[in-house]
Amino acid sequence: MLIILTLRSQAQTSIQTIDEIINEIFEQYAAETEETIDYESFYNDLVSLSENPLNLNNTTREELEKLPFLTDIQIENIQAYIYKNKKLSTIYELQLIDGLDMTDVRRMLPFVKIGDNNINNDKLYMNEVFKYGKSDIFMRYDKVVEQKKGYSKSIDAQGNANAAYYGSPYYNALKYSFNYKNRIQFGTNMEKDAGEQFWGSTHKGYDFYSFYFQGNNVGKMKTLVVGNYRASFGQGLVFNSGFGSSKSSYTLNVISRNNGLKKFSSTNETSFFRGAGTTISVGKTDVSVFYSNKKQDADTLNGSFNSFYLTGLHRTDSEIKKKHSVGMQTFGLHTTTNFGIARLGFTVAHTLLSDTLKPEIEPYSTFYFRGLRQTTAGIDYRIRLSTFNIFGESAMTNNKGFATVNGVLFSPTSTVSLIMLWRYYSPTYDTFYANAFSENTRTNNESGVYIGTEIRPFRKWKMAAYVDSYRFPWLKYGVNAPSTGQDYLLHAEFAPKRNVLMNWRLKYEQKQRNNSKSTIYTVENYSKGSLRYQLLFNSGKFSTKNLIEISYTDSLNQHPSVGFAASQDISYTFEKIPLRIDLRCLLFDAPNYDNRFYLYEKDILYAFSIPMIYRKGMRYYLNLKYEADKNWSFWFKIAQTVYGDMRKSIGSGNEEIQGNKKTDMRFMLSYRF
Amino acid sequence: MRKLCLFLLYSIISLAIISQTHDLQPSTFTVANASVADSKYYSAFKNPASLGAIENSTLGIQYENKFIISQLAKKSFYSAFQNKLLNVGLTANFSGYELYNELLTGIALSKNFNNTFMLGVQYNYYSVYVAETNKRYAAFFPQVGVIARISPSVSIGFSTFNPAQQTIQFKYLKKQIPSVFSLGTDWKISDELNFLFQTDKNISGNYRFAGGFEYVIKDFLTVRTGAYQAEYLTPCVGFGLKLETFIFQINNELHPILGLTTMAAIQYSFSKR
Repeated sequence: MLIILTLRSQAQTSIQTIDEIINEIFEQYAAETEETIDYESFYNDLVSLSENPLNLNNTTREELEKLPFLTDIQIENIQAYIYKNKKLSTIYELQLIDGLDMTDVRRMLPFVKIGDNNINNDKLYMNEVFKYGKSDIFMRYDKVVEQKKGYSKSIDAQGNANAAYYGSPYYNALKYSFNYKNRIQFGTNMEKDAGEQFWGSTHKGYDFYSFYFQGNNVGKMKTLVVGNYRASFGQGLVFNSGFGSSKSSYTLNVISRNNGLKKFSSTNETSFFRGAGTTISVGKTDVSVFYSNKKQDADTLNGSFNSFYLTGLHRTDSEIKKKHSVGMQTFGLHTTTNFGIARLGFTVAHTLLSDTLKPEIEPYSTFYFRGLRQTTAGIDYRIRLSTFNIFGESAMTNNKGFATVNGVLFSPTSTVSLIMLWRYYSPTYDTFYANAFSENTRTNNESGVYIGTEIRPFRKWKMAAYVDSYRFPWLKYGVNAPSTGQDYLLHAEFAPKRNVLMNWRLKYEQKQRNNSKSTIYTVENYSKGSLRYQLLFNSGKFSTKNLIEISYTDSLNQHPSVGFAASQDISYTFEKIPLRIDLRCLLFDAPNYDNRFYLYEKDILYAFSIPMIYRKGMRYYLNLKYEADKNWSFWFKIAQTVYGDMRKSIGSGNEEIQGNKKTDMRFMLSYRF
Repeated sequence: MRKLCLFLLYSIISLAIISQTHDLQPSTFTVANASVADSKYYSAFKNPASLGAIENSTLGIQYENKFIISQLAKKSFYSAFQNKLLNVGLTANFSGYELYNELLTGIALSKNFNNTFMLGVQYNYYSVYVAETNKRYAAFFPQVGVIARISPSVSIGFSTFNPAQQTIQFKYLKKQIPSVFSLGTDWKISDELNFLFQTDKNISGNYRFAGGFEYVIKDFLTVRTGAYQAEYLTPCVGFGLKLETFIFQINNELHPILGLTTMAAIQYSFSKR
């Protein structure tokens, strides 16, 4: 009863919207990575789940895996508890499950419910679909207030005044989405990036259009996707167009999850399949087949090209020339069979290009894929034995490139969990859709061992740590020799009171890179470390966050340097008007690029910022969310960075801005019906 | 009366051997100037959030003599008006001499939310007189502050002064107005003892780390001791005397190269009817 009351009182004092909870989860998930993660898909998946929460008394492991903050052991414990006690009587019973703390339960609350029946197996009636389904329309505008060089006109040889960018400096996106109980989802996206023309000689309308449809449990089909979709299977060695397993302070969450075919509702212009696919259950086996045919951007010449152009920007003559110049067809098949304690899967992908991929011949690109077609096949498995969860995948390409990733997760007690993962990706394993656990952005040319742990040593304390030791057996971009590296992370979290949370994060990495001062090709060691402290305080309508981070870097040719960043965040939800404001002031002083910081900041819906902070200055923003009524919502953000290093300009090339200030404005309107 | 005489005597001695460096903001009388999370008193150009904590309207004057150089001395005036909606502060500071002088004025608004959260915004006007051109050069810039009481004994404070890094353009050169970011904490160890810690960073300058203790010996008497580290470690000592509606404050700091700085302040609080 005491626990129930505590949790209930926390729910009352810690007023957090679903947006905030999703942001909080994503921040922790993405904070350690320097890669761009598709936030829109992440957000959409969790929002859909919040609108149709999982019935904990009738859910599967696969469904619980959609909650990215839960570890496999926590999922195991939830299922074991429900099996043992027949069912959960109240949501507050979650507190009694081993390995779930207040933070985990608080994060779970919007996405789960307690019920008896699984309505997902109900028959679909079209009139109900359109009667009870929810539609959303979003319109977004962005603009950088200062003028960039690409928009300023200059006189050409014929005396005409032209700017490098054809279009206006506004970014605009229009989205429509429909959702009926997570069973029928469809929508469309239209987008014009800043600098792209909306109507004129280069474009007639938006630059990017997309459509998606996903049906779940439709007739005999477990899943049906049409239009733009994602595909992820196994550990991501053959297919993973969703989020890759990466290092984060969720140190146990390195197992690829949330697999299958899924709609792609993001405005990202490159990382999706376009076509159709379905998953059908045949006894204990699920079979997924899909086909995609889409155009990719590349600089083609005489039927060949060096690399794909993935920015999705078509603002200048040279960018427009690259647009949709290469055709890419993909056939995919995946089967997975459940044998009680084990699951075995098989994946095959065949990709056909319209032009020959010929990467520039450099020592580091010796083993990159070259050619018109590629076939990749892999086998994945998961076995649960007592407290051990063994998982892995091995795959091979038609040019005999081999990759394997294998690991074991176990929990000797409810307060200690451990994971160990070993991977080997040969230099010749270079396939289009692989996105497995790796240090490299490409899933190839790497071997390494990762060990992670999560410990709850005392009440109110949680600690997580990992060590990753890796080796690149062949050269890679920026490193002209086989190289090695190590990463270490220690994360401690302390919640002294129900409305105060503090955490410390110590991170250190040691790698090798080209020695820029050497006249011959040699590599040098360099190391980076950072220490971060965060204090979060929530007082009803108010919440504050303080952050201090110090970074340290050292290398053979560069003096040791120290960077510093500190920020103050304030959020306030008004009582009498449906308005929420977020304010931040950030000071940064990162003398070298290696001292750079990646700091999450709040943003409008569907935009998620972890800007790279570098040099010296201040950045501050104001973020507003106004919910006029249950249909209309409005977001606005203005952010300014002021550099204090006496610079005359920001950026380079067409993106250059004169002066030391850069101001970003964003506006979004949504209508739900 | 004896207490008052002792205080005045100490003030006269201290001010006679005065000294200090040139900053735009006058110092506060919190130990080691670690005032960003301190909501016990309000003073000129301090974190504007501290204005939200005042219980009575207040008037004060302050004299800060830096390194026995009268041209560097700062003379400040501040007033704070308490009301139910928003507390309002008016502050001014003057320093310099006939050929060169600076005037900094500000108007502040602050709100106290249930005594757990205080938010303050101040708008400053800064002008500089240069005799050579016989002109005043001026700029406007904001100052924003927050104090959050995360528990009955711990407060955290934040303040930013001139975040947009406004400058003043003279005839031949550009003067950088300090852009300062401050974060700090006030830990009430017991009813008598407080520990304050603060870090400041001027965008174009060094870090400053300041910390110290404030000890209430008697209801009317507080002593303070601490230090701050910027380029040099500077020890600080001071005390405050409360006599009904008057508060007298004295602070001293000893810079290892430039010598002694002394600050004296008198504050009057209006009683509530």
